[in-house]
Amino acid sequence: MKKLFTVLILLLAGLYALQAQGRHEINLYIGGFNGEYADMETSEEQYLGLSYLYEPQYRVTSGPSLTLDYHFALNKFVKVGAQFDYAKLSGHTYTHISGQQKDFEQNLFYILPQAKIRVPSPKGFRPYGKIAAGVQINSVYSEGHPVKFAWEVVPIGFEWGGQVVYGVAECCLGSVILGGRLGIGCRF
Amino acid sequence: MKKYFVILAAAVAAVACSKGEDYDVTVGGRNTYSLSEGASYMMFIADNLVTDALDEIELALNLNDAIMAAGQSTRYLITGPQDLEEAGSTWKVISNASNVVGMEIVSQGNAQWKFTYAGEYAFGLANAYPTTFVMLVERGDLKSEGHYNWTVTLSGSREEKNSYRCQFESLGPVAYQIEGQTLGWNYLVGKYSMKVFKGEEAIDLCLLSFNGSISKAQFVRGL
Repeated sequence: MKKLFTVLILLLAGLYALQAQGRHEINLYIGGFNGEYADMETSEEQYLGLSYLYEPQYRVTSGPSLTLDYHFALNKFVKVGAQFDYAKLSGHTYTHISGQQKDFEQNLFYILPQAKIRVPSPKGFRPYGKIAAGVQINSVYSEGHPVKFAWEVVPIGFEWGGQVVYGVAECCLGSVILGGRLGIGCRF
Repeated sequence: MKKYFVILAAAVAAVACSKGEDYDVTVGGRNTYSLSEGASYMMFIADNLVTDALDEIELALNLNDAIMAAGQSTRYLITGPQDLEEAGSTWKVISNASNVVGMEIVSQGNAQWKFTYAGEYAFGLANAYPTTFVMLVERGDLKSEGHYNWTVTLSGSREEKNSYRCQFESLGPVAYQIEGQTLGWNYLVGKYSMKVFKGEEAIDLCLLSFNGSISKAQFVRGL
């Protein structure tokens, strides 16, 4: 992950040096906790029962997420592309009858085709919205399919700074990120 | 450019934290004790189900003379001899005030009774599960006004949600005794076993042993 980050920084620096500007853009973000597993645990019985004693309980917590997205401008206001997300999950299962706790760590990946819409705005401060739908690749639980539907809506986001290299901040709703992201992007 | 890295670093620092977890469990029953969760669960047999049934027989015996004099009862449906001490006398609990409504008490004579029950037996404050049991009890010494020592032989079963069920039984008679100045049975001698099923598969066999204070039960599982 460090290497990827380094390559992206070098790429941004190179593009900035070239003062390139075009219809392509790449953005790199760091985001809040994962939207689905931010702080999740199975519900427990309110009173001792056999389910409570014998069914393993699990709790999952995610760390911050990393997001990379790419867009191609169809026109001045509409762009299409895809976003790629990564989050590391940690958690444990616990069985009350035996008192055994098992810890685990898993990686979670997302691939979501995406559309981005910009609205007319003053120079240097550019609001936008995004919508994305795709898949989550998950191997956290032994039961169930590791691939499932994922979605995200960015009702409001902002770019600020130059046209080539800029900062981004956005609010997120959906199953990918809980809260929002901050990042940097470049256009070429 | 530098300010973006500062923002990113601040974001990482802000979100890179998580909290630990503690498991707190509340157990219930007639007595106060601190046991493992498995032992606490089995107390529903020793400290709830049996004592509810014994409470009922003691109440019935205390009302016996008055009910015989009145010739009827609103709490019990009586068939056969009216005297609960007499063999063949059958008292069925019909009052919703009882924890074992529907339980049938049949006198075997010689201070012995047989209880049969099939119904929704309460478990905790919020749950009730289909439960059946047959219990043979024998009255022992009178310890205080209307309260006796008892010996109990039990077998039964209970169904719970998510396809869990258990079969429970006493391994021989279990003595319920009153020690000291208390109205409850606080001194037990004997053993209960419990077999746990998930669907049709037996997943556990547990043993709860008493040899004195009810709060010092020994629990073994995975037999």
